[in-house]
Amino acid sequence: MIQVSGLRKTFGDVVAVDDVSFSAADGQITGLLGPNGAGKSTTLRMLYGLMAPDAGEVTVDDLDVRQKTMAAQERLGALPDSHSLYPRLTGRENIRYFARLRQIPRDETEARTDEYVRLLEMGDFVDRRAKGYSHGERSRVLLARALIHDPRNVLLDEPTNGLDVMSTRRMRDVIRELRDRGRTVLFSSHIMQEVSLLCDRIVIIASGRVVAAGSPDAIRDTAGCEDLEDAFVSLTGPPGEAG
Amino acid sequence: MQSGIVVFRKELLEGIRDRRAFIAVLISISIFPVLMMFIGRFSEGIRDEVREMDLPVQGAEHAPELSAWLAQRPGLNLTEAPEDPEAAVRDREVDLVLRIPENYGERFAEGRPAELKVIADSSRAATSAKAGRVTNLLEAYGQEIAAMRLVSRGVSPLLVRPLAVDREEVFSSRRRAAFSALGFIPMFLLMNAFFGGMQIAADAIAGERERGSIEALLVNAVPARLLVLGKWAAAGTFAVFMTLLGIGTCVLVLRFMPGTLNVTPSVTDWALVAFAAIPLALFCSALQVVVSTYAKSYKEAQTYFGYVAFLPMIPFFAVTFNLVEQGAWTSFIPVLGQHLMILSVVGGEPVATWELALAGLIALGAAAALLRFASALFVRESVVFVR
Repeated sequence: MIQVSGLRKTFGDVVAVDDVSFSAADGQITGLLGPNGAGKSTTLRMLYGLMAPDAGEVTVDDLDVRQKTMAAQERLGALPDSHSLYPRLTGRENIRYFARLRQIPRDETEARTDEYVRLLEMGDFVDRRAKGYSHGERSRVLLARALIHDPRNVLLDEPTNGLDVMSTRRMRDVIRELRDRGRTVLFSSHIMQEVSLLCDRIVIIASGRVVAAGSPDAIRDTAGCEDLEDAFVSLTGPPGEAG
Repeated sequence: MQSGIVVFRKELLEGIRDRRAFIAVLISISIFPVLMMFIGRFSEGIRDEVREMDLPVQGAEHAPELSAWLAQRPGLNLTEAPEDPEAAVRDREVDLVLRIPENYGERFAEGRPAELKVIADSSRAATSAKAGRVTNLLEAYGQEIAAMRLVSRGVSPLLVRPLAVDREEVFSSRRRAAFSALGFIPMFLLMNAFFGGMQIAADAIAGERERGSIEALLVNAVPARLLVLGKWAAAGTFAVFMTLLGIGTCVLVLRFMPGTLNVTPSVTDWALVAFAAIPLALFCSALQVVVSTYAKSYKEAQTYFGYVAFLPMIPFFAVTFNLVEQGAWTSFIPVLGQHLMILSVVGGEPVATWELALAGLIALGAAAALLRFASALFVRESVVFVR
């Protein structure tokens, strides 16, 4: 479970995140939806302890991320927005590296890797050096690597960004399966359809502030729109544009 | 600690797979033999040619006695001079020509100075050594003639030699060698210590951040100091490996090109050299870790390394041009101290083990301080999120 309250982050004069509060519950997929530059990545970076908030606090399974960064990170699996692997290691070695860093037993690592190789259909490339990977291949290895320690809380920053239909589908299957096993899944996206398809709860962020939160239906009601995409535009667009 | 070892092994594996690191190894170990080959060729060339040389003489028939005397000198072959001696020397067809003018016999008989001319090109080192030898021989012949003339007039030749000057050199030949070309050995080893870990330090820190994989790495609940230690250990391993490879190269070069440097360090000497150089390699890697953490990209790190790369050369020039007075403290300044100690050891001068050990400890202490600093810098927001 992830709880965020009164989060604020500024870079010089720019307020990137302003009084953001929300929570993501176990066994639910929570979508952090917002246009580019809304503050989604900055928020996530504060969630996994790489950025210090100017105000507010974040807890992961009731552990304060600032005070107990290591303990909180042990309960986190994260896919940051820079989709990059170690080019001179194979896909499998990339996954293995993170598993070793988290001190996961070898047989467990191999079993889980094989499982993800099957689920994400990585058999063709996982033993090749990552240097020549396509975007989709890279993203699948990155997801497997982020989940190799079977974390209770999963943070995914735009995981399906730039993926083709098949890769996106495989990724969605994995995310749903995580929810079904009672994990907390929080993922960010700027694509309406993506979020409406997957999420149980949606938090809409615009210009660093939470403008709406709730189930997809509740969001439609708040905005007074039939269509979720219209609701998104009306909630995140400049004031007065859509009412 | 375990995570630090995991980082170390992974960086080592990536480093070994990096073709750029392999090329660096090749270049680095070939510098010294090539350098020594040039020095060896150069000095040996001069010596051999002077021992055994041709002397073209123009007008030998004007001075048969002198010609006969020259012909008796060992290693000197008198030959026919070319048509135009000046042009031939200028065009490097011959190294030098001795010209005996027609009036030689006449002037010699009258007791007036008989002119002789050595035509040579002093811009060529080999030629100038030969010209020097011929001039000395002619001087000696002149002295002989003078002595005979004085004796025939009943005067002791000693009268015209009021002084007998002889030079005694306190600088042993071993030390002299140590202070000339021998300085290349510590410089070469320090360069290996320096360049050995450079590739890994740049790629594993600045490169990792540039590619963006650092963010995912930092979420793994591993303290920054272990990440930094692991990366440093990998860079340090490469640096130590290259230093030892450098020592091996020196041993081989001295064995197969003896005489170039006129020293024969023992196995113990080389062990002491390694003992001095290894802590320095680890220090250099720590320095690179800090620089690489500070740099925004792989390219930027490389640029900074380019500046810092002068570091191993500074002691070489400082010592060669006598800019530092060797004192009790000089051994303990990282880089300079190691240079001086290695120079002494291979030059056959003893260095106390405690001195080597203390200098090593100081270098390692400095490395530890640098790594502490790098660890703090490593997770700073402005450093992690530079893009």
